[in-house]
Amino acid sequence: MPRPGAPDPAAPDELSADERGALAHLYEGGEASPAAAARAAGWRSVRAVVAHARREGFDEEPPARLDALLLAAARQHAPARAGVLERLRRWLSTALLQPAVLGAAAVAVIGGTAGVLYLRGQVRVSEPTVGERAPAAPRFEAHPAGELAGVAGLDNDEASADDLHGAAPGGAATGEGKLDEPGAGAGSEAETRGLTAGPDRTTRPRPLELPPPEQRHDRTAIRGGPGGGGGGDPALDDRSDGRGVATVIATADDEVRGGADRGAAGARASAGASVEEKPAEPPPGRDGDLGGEDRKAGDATTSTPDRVTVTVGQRGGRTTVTNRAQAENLLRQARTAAARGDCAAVKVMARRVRALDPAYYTATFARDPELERCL
Amino acid sequence: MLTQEADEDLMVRYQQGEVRAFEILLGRHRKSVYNFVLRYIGDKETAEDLLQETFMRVIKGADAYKRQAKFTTWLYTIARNLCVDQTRRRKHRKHASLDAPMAAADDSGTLLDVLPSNEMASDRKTVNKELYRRLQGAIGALSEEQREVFLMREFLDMPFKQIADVVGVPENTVKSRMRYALEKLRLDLDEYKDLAKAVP
Repeated sequence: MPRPGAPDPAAPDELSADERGALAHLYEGGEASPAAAARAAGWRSVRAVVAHARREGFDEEPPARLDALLLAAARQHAPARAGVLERLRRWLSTALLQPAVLGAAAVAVIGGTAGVLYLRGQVRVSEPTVGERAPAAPRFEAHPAGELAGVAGLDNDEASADDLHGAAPGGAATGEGKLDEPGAGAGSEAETRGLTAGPDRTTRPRPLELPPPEQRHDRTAIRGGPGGGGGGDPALDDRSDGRGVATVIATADDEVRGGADRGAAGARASAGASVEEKPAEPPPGRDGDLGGEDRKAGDATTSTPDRVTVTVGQRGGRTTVTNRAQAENLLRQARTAAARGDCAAVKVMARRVRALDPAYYTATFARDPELERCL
Repeated sequence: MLTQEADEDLMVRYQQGEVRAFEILLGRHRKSVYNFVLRYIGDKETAEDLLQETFMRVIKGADAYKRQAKFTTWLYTIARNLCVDQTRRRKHRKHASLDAPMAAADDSGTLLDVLPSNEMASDRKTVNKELYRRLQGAIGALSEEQREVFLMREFLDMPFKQIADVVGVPENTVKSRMRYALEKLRLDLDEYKDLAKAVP
């Protein structure tokens, strides 16, 4: 038997006319010369024998076990079915080859981004300027855990405005929660109740739920309350008996920091913490009590006249950017205030900037020549 | 219906992860591939291995399959190449031939004698058994070039053009090989031509 692929010396490739005619007659039913037809008849007998043998069971069935093996292998090696995203990606990769489609896609992306930014802008109301408000409202801002622990550990002690914060252990992954004491004069009182964030809430994102428009507050401050007159003492230290309001301002970019454990390590900032606003009540203990009975681990709550629950989505990655933006805004406002000679406002804003973004405060704010005389 | 789709469409479906499409392809071609390999090689055990290997290559090569290629051409090219390789290895090992006696004695019978048989009258069964043996012997006696062409044309009903694609030679060469194969088989199976005519 010759080697596979090697030419068969006894079988030249050339076909005679009779042979070609016989093959055509045999397989294609064409006309054939008598000689070709006679040759085809001999070959037809071979085909008949083969066909007979096959009818009688010459063909065999392969073992069924092979089917099972092959199907298992097919499943194992089956290419992963393209998901919706993958199909979309393929479609886009093809479509984007067209310049017109590419241009339209660019417009859509830019427009979409602008739309998103615009919508967020509606949620985050611009920072009021110093001139717009009375002596800057003090704020509750995030502080390191130890700071609050020091305060909260003193049960029923008064806490200064700056101490009324949900403390952030790390800071980087937290948003900010601000408790603004309305400028209620001597009658303002801020009270935080249950301003805590449970450990379980520090990692679980929550959907953003904004209060109705009428209850949506400026991120900077909520003024008012029974004692609120707009011209109150900016310091929460001046709390007195009035039923002031302490609010937690939460915006889309904010994360409320609440004390996770007021009695011990202090509050922990919480992404997605729930912020509950309740009507302010006279504290059971002393003003500014952070250790009140209303505080519950797992909640970041404070009180306002209108009970509003605001749940803030986790936006840990945006916190630093937001803080920097706020700090920059405050710097501009501080310059305006300094130019006006309102150093008290500058100092308040300096405190805020320092709390928001210490690095920015040190590197920029504190060295700003326009602010030097006030700091 | 998936079962009515062309082989090529089913292969594309399998490329996209639809195992059911491969299952249908396997059901369509397993028997023909197996018998092609079995008649080419003449050994059941090896034929099973080669059948498995053929479809394994289809599975593993599914990503490379192009819709333009005819599936059966691709499938039988794989099967045929495996048979050629196997034949070369067998020659190297000097493997026993299928129609060689299984024992030392010449009258001990061959592997063909143990072919499975279906239910039929014993005399007819005996005649067919002899026919199978002779047919397999005659096919095995063909040169490999003639054998593969004959098997593809008569057992797989492939047109000469497609056979030429699988084997990789001109169509006229395929026809020439077919001519020689038919001529040899006519001589070897001459005594059965009346049987084929007699049986309806």
